[in-house]
Amino acid sequence: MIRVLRINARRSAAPLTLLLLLVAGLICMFVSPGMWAEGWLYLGTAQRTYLILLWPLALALGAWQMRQEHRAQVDELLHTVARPRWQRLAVTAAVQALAVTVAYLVAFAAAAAWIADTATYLPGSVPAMVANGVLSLVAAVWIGMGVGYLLPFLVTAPALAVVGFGVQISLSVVFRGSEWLGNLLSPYMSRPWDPYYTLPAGFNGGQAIWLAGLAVAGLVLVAAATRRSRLTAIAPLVLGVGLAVAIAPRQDTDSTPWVRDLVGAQMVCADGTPRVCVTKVRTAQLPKMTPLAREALAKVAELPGAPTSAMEDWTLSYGDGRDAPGVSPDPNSLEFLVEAGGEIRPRAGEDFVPRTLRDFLARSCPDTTQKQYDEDQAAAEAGGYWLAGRPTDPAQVLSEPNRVRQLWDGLQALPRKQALQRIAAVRAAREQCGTSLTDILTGRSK
Amino acid sequence: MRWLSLYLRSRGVPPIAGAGLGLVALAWTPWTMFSKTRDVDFPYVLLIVVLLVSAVSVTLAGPDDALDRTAAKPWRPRRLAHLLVTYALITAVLLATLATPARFGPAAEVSRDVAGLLGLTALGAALLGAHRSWFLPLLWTLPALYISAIAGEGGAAEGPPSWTRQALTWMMQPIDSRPAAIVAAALAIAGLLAFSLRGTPPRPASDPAPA
Repeated sequence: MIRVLRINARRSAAPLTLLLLLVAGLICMFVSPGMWAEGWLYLGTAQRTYLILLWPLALALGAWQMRQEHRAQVDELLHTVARPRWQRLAVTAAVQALAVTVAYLVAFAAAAAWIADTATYLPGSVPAMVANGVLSLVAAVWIGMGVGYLLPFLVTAPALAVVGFGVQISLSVVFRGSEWLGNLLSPYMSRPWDPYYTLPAGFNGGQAIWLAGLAVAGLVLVAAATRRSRLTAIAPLVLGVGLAVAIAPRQDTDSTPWVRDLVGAQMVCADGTPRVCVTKVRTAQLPKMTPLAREALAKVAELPGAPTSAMEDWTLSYGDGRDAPGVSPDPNSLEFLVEAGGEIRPRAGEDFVPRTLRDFLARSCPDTTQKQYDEDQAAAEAGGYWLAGRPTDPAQVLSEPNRVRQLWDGLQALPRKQALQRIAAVRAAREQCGTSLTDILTGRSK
Repeated sequence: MRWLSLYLRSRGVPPIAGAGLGLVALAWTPWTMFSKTRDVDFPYVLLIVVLLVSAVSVTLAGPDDALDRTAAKPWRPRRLAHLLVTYALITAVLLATLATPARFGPAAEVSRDVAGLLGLTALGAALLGAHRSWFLPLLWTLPALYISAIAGEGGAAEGPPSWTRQALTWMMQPIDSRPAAIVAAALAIAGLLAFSLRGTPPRPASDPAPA
């Protein structure tokens, strides 16, 4: 068996398949490492994103293989052998499948080696994403072989590639209203909005069934000798789509396949006091964040009712169904954001302390005018920079820099005790949306 | 005349020309029927161009190179003419649609892209062999299309893309982009020279070697 495989690997187009897919895959991965450097979830999805290019290529290479068989007249030559034709083609198909599998996994492993020591949390859905990626390439190369056998022309291969690319692009347009279905049927996958997402096992399972159906249909096309037996290729296709749609769980909100990863969002805390915690996803950042968070805690220690611990705020607010399930913030903890910005080892945020203190003072009022919102932001930023003991930095400030500077100057001119009182009043006004934070900060209202 | 018809047959030109025309018709029909705009989306036009040059790649070599070489014919001007006539035909067909309800345009960009991609195909034929010459245009255009699509989503307010980026995604750039024009011209000239001077590497009539 090994000998047969080896001979087939040498005489088939499998080495070319391996080489092209591997080189293309590695180029895709390392052109923008920022897409996946943050962790396993991003690596799994980034590689699936690149299938938009690799999948059509696998289709073309499958068709190319059959074009070679046709041109070399292998079929005719081996017709004399007293063995069914499908047995020979099954070996060729297996070798091609092996080539695409190795290409995909090696590209994954190359990127994984880069992030292995910093990416600590591996969600269970990532191996499933990789497995489905491999399965989709196997399906592509077999469908390509099937079509290439039926249409053994040189043009078939590039035409299939263009069609495969077009289908994936148009799936996301056709199912614009239902991202869930587009993601289920297309090998290409859209990215989650932040790292606290995962895919439910049912979704991966459903997708695996659909892709397996596609692969079987390709095999049937390759192996079938008569027109009627070729028609049976429709059965696995229909069955695959039906089962996949039935099994994959459907998210009602935004019709997205992504669900919140509550395991990844569990807190991991640093030793010592005051307590500083980040989510499991960000464990690698904990040693770096701990002193920064403690510095921020020390800056607010003088305020009445000051927080005694610091927690990562992972419940990023999108203002719609993507929001995390309501976890009420602990009033005794200072919340901070961890941003990796697509880096393997993110730099320690220069403005981390003022930014965290700004968020500590800021409030979100649902029904507010843009003007009021801007004013509130400016007050929170001025207070944040003042608490951090730093002058405002016009390059980092989100609101109007002059306004922030003006408010900051006002605080600086006050005696320290009075300024702290005003900031405490701003913090206390978080719950009352009718008030103006700038008025409280400048002492115009209490 | 007899030589010409034999030559065209040996290169498989009639079926390929038919397939090319059929492809344009196939792409043209749904657009006239379903689209509200007259101008066909440029990525769609570009994919059609890639398919057309891939089809042309078949005609760049005959079924038996060794037999071709025994003929005491001046092959260089013939290969040059082959490419030039092909270029004229492809652009003529695409530009003819400008007068119809589905326009495969704009004319300048289409002329540039056909020249560049055809040059790339010819270059591939001279270096890798005609049967592999579709690799290069396809492997360059699909990523370029994808990158441009992503960049389009990110918002176009960032100013003109960098020189390298314009050169790498040359087929998607507007006609006044200088890097794109340079790359297209370089590919067209390199392909034209390499293919007409050198031809394709000889390949046996029934080459059992893969790829």
